[in-house]
Amino acid sequence: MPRTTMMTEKEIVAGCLSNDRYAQRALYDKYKDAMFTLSYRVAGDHGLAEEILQDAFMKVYRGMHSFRGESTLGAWIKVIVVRTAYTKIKKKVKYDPIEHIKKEDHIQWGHSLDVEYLEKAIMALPEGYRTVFTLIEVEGYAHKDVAKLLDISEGTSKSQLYYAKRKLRETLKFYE
Amino acid sequence: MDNEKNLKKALKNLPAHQAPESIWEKINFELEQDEADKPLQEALKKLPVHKAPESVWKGLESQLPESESQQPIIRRLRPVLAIAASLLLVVGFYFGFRQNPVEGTEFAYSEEVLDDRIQINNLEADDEAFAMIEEICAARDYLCNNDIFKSLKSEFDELNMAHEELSSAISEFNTNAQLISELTSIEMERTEVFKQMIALL
Repeated sequence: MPRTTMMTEKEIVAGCLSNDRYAQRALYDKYKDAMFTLSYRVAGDHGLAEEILQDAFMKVYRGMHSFRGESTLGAWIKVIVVRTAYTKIKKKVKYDPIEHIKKEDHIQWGHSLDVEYLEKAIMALPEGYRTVFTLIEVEGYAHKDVAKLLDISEGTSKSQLYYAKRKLRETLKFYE
Repeated sequence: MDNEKNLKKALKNLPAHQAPESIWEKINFELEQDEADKPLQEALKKLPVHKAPESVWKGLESQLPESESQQPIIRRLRPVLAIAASLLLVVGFYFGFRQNPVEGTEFAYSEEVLDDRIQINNLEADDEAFAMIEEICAARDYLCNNDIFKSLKSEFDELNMAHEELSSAISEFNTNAQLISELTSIEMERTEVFKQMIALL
């Protein structure tokens, strides 16, 4: 069995701190696909997602000394990935200024959703909607955390999510 | 004391305020939306995971400083390779001239002081170097698990077999200069393949 798959999280962190390539590779292997998927969903482009993943892991290796264990290692890396990804797309993001949403009707999704279409519809969302939707609905962040991560108000986060869902529903109707 | 009693009495008599009905309406709306979102939540759980391309790790590795764990192995391999190559040359020349001297040829020789390190037996040096490669491959299989490395390894194994066969033939008929020359050529080829394998690690 390769040594990298047998390392514990503590060994990986200690190894990364001493610039041990086995540990660095083990850390990368453990999180690469999840973080690449997250980067892709935020960036909306494979090439850009590769760039984000590489930049983010360099930040992880260089900043490992600042990991205090207050969250899990995965959660800490995820924050770095989100920030790196968001920096790359920030210029393209335009938030809807409406803070208070007029929620008239519930968004109805039907009985079941086709995953392939759903993925396509998410990727077709505008950057701002897609980022908030991905962080809240896919990654499980709370609005206050998203507000902090993206430097927006909680109200903006909520309105972006609502409009993202509405847009998503419209797109999915088109596929039906 | 009286002041304190009066304060407590007043606090008890503070009026209660009614929560506006709109708050419950908002909560109810959110709860109903959560219920309506269930098909979405189910579908989101099944979203595909995208594989990170191998090129990302290569890019990272090129930016990272040389790993502490890599240095000793690579550095240990360099002198071993140098010793193996030097010994091959010495052995090759020695057997080449010894087996087929031309009549009337005069030989001039000089004595060289050898570095202590090159007193190691050639085969032992090769075995040691190859053991290190196996050690690296066991620890980092991704480095050795590619077509180029596998092809070099297969070539190396074939050369090893040929080397063994020739060595046993030479030990029985060790006056055949042709066999010795071929053995030297195989050893040099093997060293070359070995170097290429090291270069991939």
